[in-house]
Amino acid sequence: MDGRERFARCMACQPVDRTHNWELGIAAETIARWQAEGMPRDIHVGTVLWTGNEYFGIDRIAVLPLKLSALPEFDVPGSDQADRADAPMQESEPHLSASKPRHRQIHMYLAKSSSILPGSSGEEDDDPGFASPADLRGRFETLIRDRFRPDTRGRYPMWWPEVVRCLGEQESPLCVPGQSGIGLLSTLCKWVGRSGVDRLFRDEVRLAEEMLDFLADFVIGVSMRAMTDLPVDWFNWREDSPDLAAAQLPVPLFRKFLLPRYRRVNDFLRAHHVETIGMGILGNASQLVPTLLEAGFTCVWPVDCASGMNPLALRKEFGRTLRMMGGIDHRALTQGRETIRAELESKVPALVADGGYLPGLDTPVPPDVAYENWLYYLDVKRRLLSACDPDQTRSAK
Amino acid sequence: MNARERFQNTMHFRPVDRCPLMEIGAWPQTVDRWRREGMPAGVPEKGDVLIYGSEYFGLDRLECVDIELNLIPDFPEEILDEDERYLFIRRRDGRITKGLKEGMVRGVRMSMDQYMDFPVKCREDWDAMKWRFNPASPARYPPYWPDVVRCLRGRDYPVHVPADGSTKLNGFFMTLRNWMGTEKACTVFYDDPSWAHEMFDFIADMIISTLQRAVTEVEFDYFEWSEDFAYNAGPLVSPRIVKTFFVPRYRRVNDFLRSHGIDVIALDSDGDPRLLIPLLLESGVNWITPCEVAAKMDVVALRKQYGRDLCLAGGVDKRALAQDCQAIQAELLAKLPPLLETGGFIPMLDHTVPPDVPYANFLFYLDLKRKIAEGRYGA
Repeated sequence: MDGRERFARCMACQPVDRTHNWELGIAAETIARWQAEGMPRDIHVGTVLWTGNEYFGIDRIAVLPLKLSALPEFDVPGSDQADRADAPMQESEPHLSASKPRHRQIHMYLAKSSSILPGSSGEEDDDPGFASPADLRGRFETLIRDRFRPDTRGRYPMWWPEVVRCLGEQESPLCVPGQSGIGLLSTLCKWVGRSGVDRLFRDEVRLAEEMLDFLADFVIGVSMRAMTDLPVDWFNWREDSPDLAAAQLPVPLFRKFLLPRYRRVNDFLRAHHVETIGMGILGNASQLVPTLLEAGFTCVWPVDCASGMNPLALRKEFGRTLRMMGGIDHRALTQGRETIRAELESKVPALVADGGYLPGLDTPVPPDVAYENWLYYLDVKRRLLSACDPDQTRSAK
Repeated sequence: MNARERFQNTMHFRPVDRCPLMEIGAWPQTVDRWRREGMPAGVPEKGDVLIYGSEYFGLDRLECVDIELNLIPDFPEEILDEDERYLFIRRRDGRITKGLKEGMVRGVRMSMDQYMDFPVKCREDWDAMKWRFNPASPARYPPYWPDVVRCLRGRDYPVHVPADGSTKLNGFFMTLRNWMGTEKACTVFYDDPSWAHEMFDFIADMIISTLQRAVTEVEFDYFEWSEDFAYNAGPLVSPRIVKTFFVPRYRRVNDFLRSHGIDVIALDSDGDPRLLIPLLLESGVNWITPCEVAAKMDVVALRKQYGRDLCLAGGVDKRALAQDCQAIQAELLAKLPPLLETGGFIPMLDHTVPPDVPYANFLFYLDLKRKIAEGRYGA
């Protein structure tokens, strides 16, 4: 069974030789700590783990790096490329909570410097004081539309036929669009800031809907060629803006503004045989899950335990309809072996046997985790992943 | 004819449909200028780098396999100090540089940094650093190597090893210079010749051991030595030093490469390394790039002198592009027709495009070069 087949079967709750070994990432500070604690310094290790790591035995996920951000990029005077507000994060960049400070910094930078829409600063405590709706629309037409054209050169890697040959024949699951990801709400938030989103949803409903429709069309437009030419296993949405994660949005607003657009794009993806449509979401998204399922999502990650999410409870409530990645409380790794083992044994055997679950930490490994504990965690998890034969477990039920 | 066949035929003086169309790259400042002058978004496709091809500019694809010959682990890069004008940075290779803040774009300055300090000052420093050159370090090869090999099988573009550029050192002089600075890299042969021999053997062994697996599993189209051991008045090391210290190790590595089917072996040096070319040929190098015109490197004269023993790339004066169409045309017509006729030549600018080159001039240059290459000029 190759990695692609294993991933597909795991996510389809079908029997596998062992479960795909998934982890989210490592905080940069953690890497420095682990090196001081004896981790070899001449191995490939970066802040991203979900695309795989040979040394730690994390399974590979191949990535097609589509560029779904602004082209041309917004100029941020005096900034380097890496600090450009709208530049996609590099594949090696941290994300989600480990990178919160950096994300925050980037978003604030964008908010302070870009002024994409009038008065929009992105500051949570700032009233944007928008200009007239006409002006707002004008800015959208002139500053956003042209930068988010699906056919702009640079959204796809060069030498496409060769990319298709390499990615089409490889043995790992294929994820689109890669680390940079995209979310409808987080992109809107980038354009107008958090308070701008509030204002749009409250006072400029038609414009908000038009912007989101435009964005959904954009995602479909960009993805079309990949979906046509490649066997994509996982489309990776991310609503992890530290300014406004989707979990913070009231469910009625999510249903009104985001659900129809997500449904449309996800239907398009399903029509192209994408079986796993994932949502990376910060915070406790439990209440949002029914809406996410209705919108066509099949999977959530990283199932943030510290905010109150629990993969066992989610499985109980939603069954195998909801697939999950993550869900292991990272705080257990700051304690002793017993706690780590208990945390894993309380979740992994039951959920893995049931299928549709890739256990992993619910956040990039934070710097208060000792290297020894990390290795112990990986070792116990690996044994549990191999020991769980879903076929036998189900037969016994 | 695909890009790989074209490259191979060119470098072996066989017939081609046209020569490879390649360029090294552009300064980030140049790219920003070109954007202001109308270059579309998303171009160049690989940032400021052009050597790996550009669909937009019609440049042929080339790839390198990113095998790391530099130190692993590297030193943590850190800003040691800064004032209003300068940044003092410890680089990943241990060098400390002083760089001008003004005019910096995406980490690239308008002037060269001043090199303040180096990690190797004596034999003890070198002994203490050797462990960072372990050929068996897993991070020397890209992750998921078998899949890299799979993708490179059946490709239609040329691939070289190792990656070029100053962060991927491999040449003997470049390595020495990065370890101990230009001055000491020029004098160590006199001050402590046995140490110099020892270091060169170490470098050659390291290259061979590191590349062993790669050359066994991948069909590379060429190997490139990065040296930069010359300036505009000649080499930084004498022919006698090169013959004594460099040639035996070049020979050993180049023989190893040839035994694995790599028979195109390039050497990259800015400046004027002409005095050293006979020795380089003797050591198995058969391609010189980028033939910097401002340092009196004349590709037409070099072809006349060395014939088919020496392939050439570059040789087109980038300064012509800062002038006008007439100057560009004169430069191209003076060099391309005679050399393209014989083969073994990849015409391109003699370094990255500097920011005094207007976008329109670059486009004119590319268009004219293509016309000449395809035999359409004057037709």
